[in-house]
Amino acid sequence: MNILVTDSWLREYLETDATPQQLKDCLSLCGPSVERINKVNNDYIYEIEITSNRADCASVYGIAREAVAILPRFGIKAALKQLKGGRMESFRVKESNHLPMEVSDPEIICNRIMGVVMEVDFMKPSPAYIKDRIEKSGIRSLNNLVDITNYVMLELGHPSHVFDYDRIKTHKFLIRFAKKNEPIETLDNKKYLLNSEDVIIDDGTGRVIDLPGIMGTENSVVNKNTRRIFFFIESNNPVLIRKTSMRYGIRTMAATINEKHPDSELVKTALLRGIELYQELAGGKVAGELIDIYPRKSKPTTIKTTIEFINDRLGIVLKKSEIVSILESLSFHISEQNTSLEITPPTFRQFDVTIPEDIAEEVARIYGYHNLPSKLMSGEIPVTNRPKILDIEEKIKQILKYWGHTEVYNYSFISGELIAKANLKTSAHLKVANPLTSDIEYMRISLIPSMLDTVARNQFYSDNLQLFELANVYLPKKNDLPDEVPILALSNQNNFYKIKGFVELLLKEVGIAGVKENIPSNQNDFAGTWSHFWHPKQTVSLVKSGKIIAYIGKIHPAISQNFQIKNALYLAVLNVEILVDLSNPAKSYIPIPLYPAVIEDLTIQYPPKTYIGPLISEIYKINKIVKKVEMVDHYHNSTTLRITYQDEKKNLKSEDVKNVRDKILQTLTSKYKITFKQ
Amino acid sequence: MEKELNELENMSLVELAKLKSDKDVNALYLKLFGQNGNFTKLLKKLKEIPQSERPIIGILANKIKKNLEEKISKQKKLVANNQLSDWLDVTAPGTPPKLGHLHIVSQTISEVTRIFERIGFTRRRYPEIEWEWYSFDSLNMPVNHPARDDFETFFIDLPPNLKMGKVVLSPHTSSGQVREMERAGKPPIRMINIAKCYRPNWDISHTPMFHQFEGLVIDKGINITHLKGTFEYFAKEFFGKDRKIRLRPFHFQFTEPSFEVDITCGFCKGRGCRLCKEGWMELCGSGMVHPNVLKAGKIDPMKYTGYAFGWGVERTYMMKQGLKIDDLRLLYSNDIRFLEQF
Repeated sequence: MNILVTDSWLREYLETDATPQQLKDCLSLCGPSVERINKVNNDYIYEIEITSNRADCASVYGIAREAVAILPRFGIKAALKQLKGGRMESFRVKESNHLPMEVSDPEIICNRIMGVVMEVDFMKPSPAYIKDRIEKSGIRSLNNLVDITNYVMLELGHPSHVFDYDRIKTHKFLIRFAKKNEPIETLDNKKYLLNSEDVIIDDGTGRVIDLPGIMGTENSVVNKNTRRIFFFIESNNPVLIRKTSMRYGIRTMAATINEKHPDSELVKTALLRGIELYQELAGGKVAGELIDIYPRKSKPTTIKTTIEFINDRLGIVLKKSEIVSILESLSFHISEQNTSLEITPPTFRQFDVTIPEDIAEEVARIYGYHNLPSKLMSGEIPVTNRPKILDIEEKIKQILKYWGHTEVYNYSFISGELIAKANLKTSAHLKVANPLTSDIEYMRISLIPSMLDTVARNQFYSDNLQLFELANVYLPKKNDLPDEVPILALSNQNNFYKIKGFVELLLKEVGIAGVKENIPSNQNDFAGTWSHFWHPKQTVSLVKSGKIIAYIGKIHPAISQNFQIKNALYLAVLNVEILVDLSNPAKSYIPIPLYPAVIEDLTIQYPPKTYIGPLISEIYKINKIVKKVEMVDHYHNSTTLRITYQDEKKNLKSEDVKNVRDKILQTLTSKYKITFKQ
Repeated sequence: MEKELNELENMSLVELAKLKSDKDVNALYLKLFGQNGNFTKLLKKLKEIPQSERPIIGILANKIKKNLEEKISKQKKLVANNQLSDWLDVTAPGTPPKLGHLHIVSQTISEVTRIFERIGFTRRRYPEIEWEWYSFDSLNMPVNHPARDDFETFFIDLPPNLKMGKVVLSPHTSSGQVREMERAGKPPIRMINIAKCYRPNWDISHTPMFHQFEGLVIDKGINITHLKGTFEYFAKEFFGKDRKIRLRPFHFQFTEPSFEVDITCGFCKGRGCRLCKEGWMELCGSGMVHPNVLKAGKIDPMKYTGYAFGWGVERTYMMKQGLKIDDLRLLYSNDIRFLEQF
């Protein structure tokens, strides 16, 4: 949380020559970060970030106390001035004059509860300086009765509340958990139905008169008729405060402080300061007993540690005297044993400082992190192999980029709507229990739906979207975390052979050879990418060692239509985990051939729907002098193949080539019903 | 024979004079003097003529060959010179290959990884959908810690595991800390974990999915000066030599002490501008590994110490480039008009 502290108010407790800029710089380096200084009229306002462990700094006095420990380290004098507020004894009134008030907390929900009934003058605006200070701190000034509670909170760091004593006719305060759906109207006239984990105050009749520690209620708040008040401060359970405050979105400053667990010792300090202010500014007279119910006393832990331990954490050697003086400047109590120190933090640091490492932190920050040297580790470098997948992923990304593909990053989430458009089932997905919107309700099991969506949204900016994404999909498993499988998806709108060519060369580049092509024919052939995404006659899968590496194909026209994609779209989906398993980047060396190759073109004609892939594989098998078979031209049912013949051991004679060629022709004619063009 | 030779010479010279390209001239040369060339073939006939005429014809053949070779060579030069007058508009644009674009997240990950690998870190990857145990409990974050609220962490709709708790979308790469300790078995550890993270925030400056780096070093004698040294090295390598860093006290459950690391703003050089907070930019959160975290990873905190840091990939990129992307959601909306700018 950020708080606003005015310089003039701060200096009421902090005696120093430090300029606002110096205060900002020094505090930021060693304590709470001062993010900004704003000059307003003749004053400065510090905007200070308070971390959740430092509720003790969330006030004018808290900052002054930190500054007194920090500024002298920079050679700037600083001293803390006496805290204001009367003494308990001076407020006691004769028991016979007590106005009755009974507070009970049977379940011991609060750590401490204090309160006092006071008679006051009619409500009026606060004096200018009060108004000015609380408004500069970001709180609206209302009237003197309410402003005092806020002034005390800003000055000392503990929230407080004021009730109209006469509006609580029973003069009873019962602190209890709310009933389910119990209604409440807060003082800003908003209505809520409560939950059984919320804490409320009941006037003994079942009527809810406060949401303690968070916000008051309409039915008990002071108004222009108020003549008697009940000034009330309670130390709450921080977890319950946080939950209730977040549940209803009531993020008052009181709630944000109370959820950080301010010290319950501070309750009394704040009460006395408040009484003093009611006397000064509202004609207040104490009219009842000072109630103090204190079931859970503040009790800081005593920590045992050594000078050596602290210095080991800092990486430098500080003298014992210096360490002790730093800790004492923070109000820590130190008792020196032989070689160790027993250190007790003040009550206001009891939740934050509990182990020796916390002591090291206090010493290090006040000594100044900026005063520590910077070194690189000198120890041994662990020998661990970089996961192979990282190299392959990076290679794939680079290759695809230089081949003209643009990388996209889609959310790992997917909407039910997109799942439906892709004809998948929501039940096959992991569901987010608390999605912000329905757009991010499920975890992807395929990259295809988001890829289609991305294509659809960009199709008007390019005729050929060559996109790719490499990301994990999350495949649910019973009673376990899902399988996270890295998948590569790429798109192309040119034609099937373009995208197939990219995939073939990509496999070659990552060191995968000997891949078989398979025409998927049933659902099982589509493990993981679902047959219905694909055009049934224009999809191929690449397989090696019984593992499906990739699918390449045209998107099913019906799916394309669901996404309103206007042009034909080809996708390839690769399982990167399998690529990594199969990849063998080692290159082998074959001597450069001594004898020239014979290259000739062969044009073949074949019946419609003949697969040329197996035919080419067949040619390779015929003789080992067939070194390369390339497709150089293709038209309807006719293809020109360029065949390279070469023998490592001798010059090929024309009859050597002829023999092999005849065998090719013979095989192709008998097996594939091929005719030849000469 | 003599006549044939003279005819060949004349015809060849006529043909040669017409040739305009180096390629054609070379072809003519082969046609004459190649293995099956006309001149070569003619010369083979020398055997057939009477012995007495051979010297004369031989001399003639040599003379003709020499002459043809000279003329061919001259023609080649002429052809080459003629090309000099071929005009080309060298100012017209080239035809480039199609170039794609890597997402800025990928670009940053590569660069940061390279820098840390040079000082002995190894990149690792841990689950993005994770148990509460690794995301919170093992990181010293008690059950009631605010970060474990529905408002701060995404939960998966699955029954909890007795030991491991609920299934969450990992809200930070710190979930990999104890996993790395378990993997390594014992220190030394120098890890950098880069992964997707998820938190329920979605507005102009937050996306529900983002990327983080996590660094983790554990060894004997690791202290704050090493953490400072590492950041100084990284800041100078990644952002530039003139940049400075500072540590500010902060609070995280899984480190003690904890810091926020700031770096001087590269645009205003520390004077203060719209991109920074009065000259400084927040780089990341970090600290010395909390003893409870070491214990959760079965490492003895009395023998070993360590430091950890984590920060956002997207932010780091923008800080380096000085980009002020007014709406962070653009990063994951995949509009190619945005993506093609990087």
